[in-house]
Amino acid sequence: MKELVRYLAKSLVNNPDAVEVQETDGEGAAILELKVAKEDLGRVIGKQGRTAKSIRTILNAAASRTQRKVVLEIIEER
Amino acid sequence: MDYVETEGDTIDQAIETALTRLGVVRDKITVDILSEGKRGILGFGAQKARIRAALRKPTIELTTPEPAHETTVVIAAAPKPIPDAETTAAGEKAKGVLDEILKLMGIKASVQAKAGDKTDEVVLEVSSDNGGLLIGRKGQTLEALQYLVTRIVGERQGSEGPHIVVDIENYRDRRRKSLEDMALRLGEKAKRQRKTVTVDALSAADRRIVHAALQDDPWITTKSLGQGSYRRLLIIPEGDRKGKEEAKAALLDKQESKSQDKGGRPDPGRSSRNDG
Repeated sequence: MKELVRYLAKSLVNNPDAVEVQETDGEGAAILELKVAKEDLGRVIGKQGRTAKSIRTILNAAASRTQRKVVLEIIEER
Repeated sequence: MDYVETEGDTIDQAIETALTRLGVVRDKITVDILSEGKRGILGFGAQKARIRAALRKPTIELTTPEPAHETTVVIAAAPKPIPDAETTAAGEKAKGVLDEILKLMGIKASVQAKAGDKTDEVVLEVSSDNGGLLIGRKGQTLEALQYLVTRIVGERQGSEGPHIVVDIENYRDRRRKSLEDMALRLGEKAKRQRKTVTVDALSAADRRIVHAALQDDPWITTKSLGQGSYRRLLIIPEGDRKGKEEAKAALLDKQESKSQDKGGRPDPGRSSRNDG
């Protein structure tokens, strides 16, 4: 799951080296925290959040075979 | 000049018949519409669409042969279709990206890149035991895969890249057929009740299919109203003045606030990418 987000994010951004994905376990759900370079934030979110939504849709499809849910959070800082 | 005359329930069907009879592709013929045809009401008064399809003369014949200047003949030759090398390369790349995504999703699947119906279109045909999972509700997972693959491939090689379509088990075809059925059913309903019918929320590509399915019906107008996810498609029957005026008023409102967005029926020639 983590690898999937990392691959997608690295493929979408201009600055793949700045991509970081951290996985933390929440209650019944895994939380994936995605960090990218500030100027690449728009690329992983997309117009009206379309890219972010697509990534979440694919994550949910992949997670639907396991019992755990997956939440993707895009972290804005730096 | 060679030509055939054919009939069909719609103009498209008549053209299709003509193409098979002549054994050529669409851009090799010119089509004259003899009669647009009518769908009729409940099967009454239905008229078949009639067309005359004539073979287009090869472009080279149009230039007067001048043996002394061979170069002029070369220049006047038919414009070549867009070289497929770029499209093929993008297709291969897109296939690689999709393979990787599916692998990381933990799904066993094989992807095959094929040429699409248009010169700048690549179809990625996925076969997998988990087809349903990859399609998702109303095809949303399929849509997400296609969007991301397009973004990743397009991002690296300029804005106007080839059109990439992801398909699983002919889902796109099945979906189009069911949307067309629904469009015709709602069209009949609108005509029967003489009331405007509003279609549920649809994606831009889906709306385009509905517009196209109803555009040949002279008794029906279709319009899209609203912005973003609130955009809805209206099927307006001839004679429902109220529905029409409402649509017009809303349209005018929008034009005032946003001068360039016309929000009307999309031109069927435009690709779905441009359809708001």
